[in-house]
Amino acid sequence: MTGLSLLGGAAAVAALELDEASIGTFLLSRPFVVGPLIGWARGDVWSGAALGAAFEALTLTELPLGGRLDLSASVAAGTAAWLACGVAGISIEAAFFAGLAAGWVQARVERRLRGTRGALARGAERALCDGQEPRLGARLAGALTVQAAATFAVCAASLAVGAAFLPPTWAALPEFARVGTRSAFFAAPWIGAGGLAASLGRRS
Amino acid sequence: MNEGLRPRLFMRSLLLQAGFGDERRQGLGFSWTIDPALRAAYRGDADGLRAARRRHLESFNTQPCAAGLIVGACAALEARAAAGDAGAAERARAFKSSIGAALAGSADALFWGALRPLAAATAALVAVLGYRAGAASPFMIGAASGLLVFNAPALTARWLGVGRGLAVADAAALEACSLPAQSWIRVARWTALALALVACALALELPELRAHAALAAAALAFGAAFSRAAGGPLRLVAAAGILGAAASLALGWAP
Repeated sequence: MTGLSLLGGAAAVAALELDEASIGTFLLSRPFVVGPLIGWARGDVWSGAALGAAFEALTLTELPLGGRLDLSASVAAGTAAWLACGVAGISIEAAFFAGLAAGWVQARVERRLRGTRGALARGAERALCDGQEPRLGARLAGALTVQAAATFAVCAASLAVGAAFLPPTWAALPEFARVGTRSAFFAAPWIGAGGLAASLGRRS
Repeated sequence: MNEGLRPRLFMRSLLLQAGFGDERRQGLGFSWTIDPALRAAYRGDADGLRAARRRHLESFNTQPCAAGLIVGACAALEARAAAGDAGAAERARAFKSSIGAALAGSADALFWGALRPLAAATAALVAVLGYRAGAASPFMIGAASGLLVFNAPALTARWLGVGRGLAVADAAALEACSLPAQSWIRVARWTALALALVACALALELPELRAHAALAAAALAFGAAFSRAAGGPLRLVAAAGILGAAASLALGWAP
């Protein structure tokens, strides 16, 4: 994986991630879109779709009520699909766990960003009190830029670390650990689908 | 009301969450969304515009697809306030805080709890059917189908919401409450459940998965039975990994 393709992957996921809670929401950031899309871009749509299905099923029952965010599904699916489809020596199950880690980190970064955005509205209020233009559009554009830059940084770091360390780490794992991760990845979409089915049946 | 206002408010409402924060939630996005309406209403009244902008910078939160109605209604109330209706500005403020939370309850259940699973189930079913039929890009067609299933009603709700809000102001809330949202939610959930189960059954018949069908069915049943008790499916996935590793160690099993 060249540095340029790594940066391209991080930029693509960062752009799609904006749909998760900033622009839309059109579901463009959902794993059932991100997984096949990244897989298609990397020439392995089957692996991308498999990872997309796994992350979609695992995160579909988590509703973003009140801005709740436990795992960034778009970053998880995008990072995993990019690693699985483009890096020699990274198996799909190893990429799945790398994606989970990246999604977990992104959710924490996003929470921090949400904690800082109160200043934007307060700044607009101060400007109005001083008789100036509140520059609401510029403030929103700034928030979107910071969001995209933070996601880009998380994705680029995850892809770089994953590409560098996953192949040797994976090769050094004992066989039972590899079987365990393979079992977890294989079971993930089915467990998620089962949980979703039970949840839909219960709520209906 | 200005003819071009509806599309502008609709387009801007797509960025309602762009400045989402812990302190004011969608407040900054709402104020930017409604700003063209405020500037049109308070043309030539700088103090009135400033006061209106401050009103709409306050904390606000609702389901994004339902926000169109609130944006439209507040724009109509602000136009009345600018025209001299003394109570309209206060009504806009009260309307936002009360109806925002009330609409979010039904709209969250409809858009996040029912239509989002329906979109994912549709995507999975179309992808599996396309794959079985030998389609060129079954997964991309599946994803496009899922996006269509969610976005057609979501964007329609936003567009109609802005229009009704602009037309009848806060009376739009009564119209929204009279919609059969609960029956839509039920139908969408049952349809999502049926499509998801059919997609799973068809996927298990694929040559690539047939050999592991029993294991997949067991994982499906495991997820259905224990996801809630375990606090989410991720812990069950970890348990499946530990079980697999233990089976490999003890029995030499490999999937």
